[in-house]
Amino acid sequence: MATKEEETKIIMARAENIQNEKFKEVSFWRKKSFKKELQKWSSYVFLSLLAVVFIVPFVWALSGSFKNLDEMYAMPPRLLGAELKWDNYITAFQVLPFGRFMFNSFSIIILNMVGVGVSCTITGYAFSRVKWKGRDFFFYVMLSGMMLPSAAKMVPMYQVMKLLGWLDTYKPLTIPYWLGLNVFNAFLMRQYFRTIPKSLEDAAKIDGCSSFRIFLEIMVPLAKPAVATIMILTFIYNWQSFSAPLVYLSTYKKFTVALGLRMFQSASQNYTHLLMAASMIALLPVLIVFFLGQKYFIKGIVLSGSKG
Amino acid sequence: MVKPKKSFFTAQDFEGFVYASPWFFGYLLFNVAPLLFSLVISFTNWDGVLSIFDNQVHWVGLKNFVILFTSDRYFYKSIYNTVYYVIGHVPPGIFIGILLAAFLNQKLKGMSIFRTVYYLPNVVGGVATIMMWQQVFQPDYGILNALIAKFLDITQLARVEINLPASLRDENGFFLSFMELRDLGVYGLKAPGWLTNPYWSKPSFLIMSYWGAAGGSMLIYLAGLQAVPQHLYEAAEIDGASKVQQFFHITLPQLTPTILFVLITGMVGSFQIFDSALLLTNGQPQDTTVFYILVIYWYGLQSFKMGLASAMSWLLMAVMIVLAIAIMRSSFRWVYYGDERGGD
Repeated sequence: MATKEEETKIIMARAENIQNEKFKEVSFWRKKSFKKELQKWSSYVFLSLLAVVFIVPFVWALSGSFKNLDEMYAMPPRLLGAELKWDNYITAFQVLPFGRFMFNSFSIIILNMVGVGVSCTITGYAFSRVKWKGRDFFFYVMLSGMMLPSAAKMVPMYQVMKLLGWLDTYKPLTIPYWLGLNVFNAFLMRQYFRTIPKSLEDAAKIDGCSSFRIFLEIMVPLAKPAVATIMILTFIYNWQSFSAPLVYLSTYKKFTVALGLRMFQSASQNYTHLLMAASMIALLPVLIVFFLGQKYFIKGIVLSGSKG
Repeated sequence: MVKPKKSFFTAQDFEGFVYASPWFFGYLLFNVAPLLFSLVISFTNWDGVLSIFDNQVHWVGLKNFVILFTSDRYFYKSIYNTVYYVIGHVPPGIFIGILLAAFLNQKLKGMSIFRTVYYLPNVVGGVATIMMWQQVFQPDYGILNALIAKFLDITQLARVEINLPASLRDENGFFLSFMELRDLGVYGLKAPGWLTNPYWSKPSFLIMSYWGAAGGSMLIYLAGLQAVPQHLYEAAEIDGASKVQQFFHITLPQLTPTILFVLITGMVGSFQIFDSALLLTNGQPQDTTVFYILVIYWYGLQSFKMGLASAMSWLLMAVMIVLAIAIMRSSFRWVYYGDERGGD
């Protein structure tokens, strides 16, 4: 008594056999196996060409970071100049306090990562495991917040920050993350909490566990992978964040890496080669975090797109 | 068991509120407050610098909106440019994303490497990649034009002047052909000026956007593709459906919820193009890259016209809400949730 799946498989195998038998006398080029190979190799060719296209900007910037100014303007453009100019990387740190910028970025990001870990866990838990009046209503309210474009709120937020006196500080860049305002991350945590079986909770309740202890000692440890995911997502998002620091920060000593790169561009002299070197440096932390956390990252994306 | 008293708020309700309170507080402070505040500001003439309690700041009613719709220099231009960008980015982006995901869904070796490569731009994005593209797009010494020159055999990359020869006819009285004119130096085939050319500026931004966003949407489609039940494909193959038919009648319909998600987020995201516009062109050449958020930034933080900036922000939010609702409404016709219950 084969199951439906097995039956299907048997039928398909028979069909393929018949097909292959019919074509046994046909030329090599029409065989099914050849077509499969052809499809496989054409996929590889297409994907590889596209991958090359995707990498070109990185390669070009990398090559630019090793040239001096004249070599950058060389016509026709070459991949590398006379020699690799490693000093560009050092000069970049001397011309602008780039190290300071990186320190600033890291400080903000670490604060945000912790804030997101704490607040989004609490918020996600509130919207998934606790039944309270208005939970679903406010969940939709939270979702609708995601719809509103953040750039459209740029100026209104600036106005509020000015009113609060928080301009030119790091407060507008960090406090929102501590209050669970990061809707996407809270949403992820909620989705994740929904996958935890209720039996765990019930067992703990029977043992007389208070609900706060349930949260602290059961939910939070279980949520560690999801928390890691949102922390990595926060790192990556904050590292590239440009318009928020741009709007709020005005003392250049407080600038982040993104603003620092822009300063190279608007400097009085032409620092294009240094800008390339600085860009490469700016890419490194994000690349490292991405490669280390790839597993969590992809899981996060998948979790957000899953239904329900 | 008889409950002695029935209370409206249970202990669980209270608990839920407590846990959700950081979010409540943040939502009020960072979502509701800015919206309300900027709505009020859009009816005033605040310049963004003086204290709002200053005597010069007063109510002007709908004047800001009137200015925007009648005499403002950038309002309609920015709308045109932004809509151009959104339409140019979202549909092809969806197509590219699905295409890539379909390719990467095969069980071949090395797919994860390709996946990483395509996703990398989305991850590392930001100012660094924008600067990279600025160098790539350089008309005179950038890699893009260098490759174009090499493969299309264009000898000159720089701007070429048009020099008319003494006569457009040769000695026999026939008109000179295009090639002969070129050899005479009348015009030179030149590679595009990209960010410096008014016709190529927005397409340049679009190219950057495909590069940056393809990986992100591809991942989401991959997840959606993998959720398609295999038995559907097997049943179709037995019935004799070709791969193409399978794609259009099984894969695509199953993907429609994912497409809806990417459509909405992509649309909302592409309306906000700002970073690259500010860094690369600041609206030039000839106002062709003046995007909506860029104008809001100019008015709000550079030109001391906070009232106008607030008005523009509010208009944008209103439009986005309407659009999002419209798409969600229309989605009931074309989104197919299959066997499972759709939505939350």
